[in-house]
Amino acid sequence: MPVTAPKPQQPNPIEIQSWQQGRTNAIQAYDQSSARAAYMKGQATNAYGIQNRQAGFNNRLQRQGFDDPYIGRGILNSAIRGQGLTNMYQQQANDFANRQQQYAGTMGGYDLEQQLAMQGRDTTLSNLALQEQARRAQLAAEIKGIV
Amino acid sequence: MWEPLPPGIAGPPSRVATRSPSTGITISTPMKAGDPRLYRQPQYQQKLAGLVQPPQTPGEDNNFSPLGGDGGAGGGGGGGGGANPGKIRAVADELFKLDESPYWMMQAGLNNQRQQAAAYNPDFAGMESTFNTGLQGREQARAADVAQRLQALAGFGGQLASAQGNAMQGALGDLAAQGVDPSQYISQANQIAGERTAGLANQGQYMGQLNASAANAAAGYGNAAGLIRQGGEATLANNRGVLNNQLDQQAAQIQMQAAKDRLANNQARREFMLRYGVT
Repeated sequence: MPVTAPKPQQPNPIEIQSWQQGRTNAIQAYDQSSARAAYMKGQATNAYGIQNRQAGFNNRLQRQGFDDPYIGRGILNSAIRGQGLTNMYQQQANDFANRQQQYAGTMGGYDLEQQLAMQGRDTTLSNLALQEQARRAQLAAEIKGIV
Repeated sequence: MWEPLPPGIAGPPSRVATRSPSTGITISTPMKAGDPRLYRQPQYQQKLAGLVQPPQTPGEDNNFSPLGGDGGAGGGGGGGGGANPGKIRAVADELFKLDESPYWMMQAGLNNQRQQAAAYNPDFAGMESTFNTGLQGREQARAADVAQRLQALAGFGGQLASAQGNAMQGALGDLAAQGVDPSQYISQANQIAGERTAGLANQGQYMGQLNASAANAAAGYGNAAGLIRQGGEATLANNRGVLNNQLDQQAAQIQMQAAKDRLANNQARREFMLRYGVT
């Protein structure tokens, strides 16, 4: 006659509900954080583009009016004007670099936020899964249902 | 006063059931050899017919005659001839035939429990595998995400450098057209490009750190899952040992009880035989 051994005990419904709730919360928190970061990155990219467009316009205006003082002073072809022109472009390059640096930093910050959120989600999911494995192993090791 | 109950309720022949009229409680007790209730049972009166009356013992119920009836010693002559050892032995064999089936049933139940304990086989490795499958899935997704972000970062750096290059091109063209030495401008532009590269490299560095940290965590989780499996298996082995010890103790108790009952039964049989002078 075949022997029917008992099956391992299962976690109770409250525990299962708690694990599922933990998983859902972790996934939802990551999704929300990721959506927020994606939105903010889009906003930052838009702002960067607007700033560049405005700066480009301003730079063109600046260049258009740059020669006037030198013409007025009769030193259009002077080294002073040449240095002035170099300084202007260097200033524009600095401004552009600052915008880029700020933009890159903002984008990097949101990337970091997304990655940390993902890591936090994965850590929570792994903790819950490990907790479930440990609980199931604990129950299975108790070998109940025979005496 | 306890009243003897009819045969059939009494259970094994060597036991007798009695009921208290005041409480209604019925108990089953072992009969002693010579207990008149034992021999009054009709099925044995016929078997005992013709046997000599046993010697009477002071202090006991001597109003018993195995020849039938409660007539006391005076009515005991019906037996006539002397003891018939063979018949007495045959009656004793039947009277004191110990029913050992309850012990065997209990032993069979214990054996079944032992087999269940041996067959109980929870899948600890499967639990670990389930965990590792989920962990590997998350780890692969994370590693792919890091690779994608590093690639995107490189592309982003290229976009920024390209934008700066475009801006520089206009300035360099203008400077050249105006006959201005561009070296100062180029030097600063190169410095800016270096700073931008350093800033992006910083991002790549933290991504690498997070990547290494997550990989270490995953390895730690995998290790913990293995330890949990080992712990579960070891704990089960211990618990199975404790359970088997309990079952062994119960089996020993059953065997001891059976041995005690056999001894008591044999003793009662010997006493019965001695009463009839048969050794």
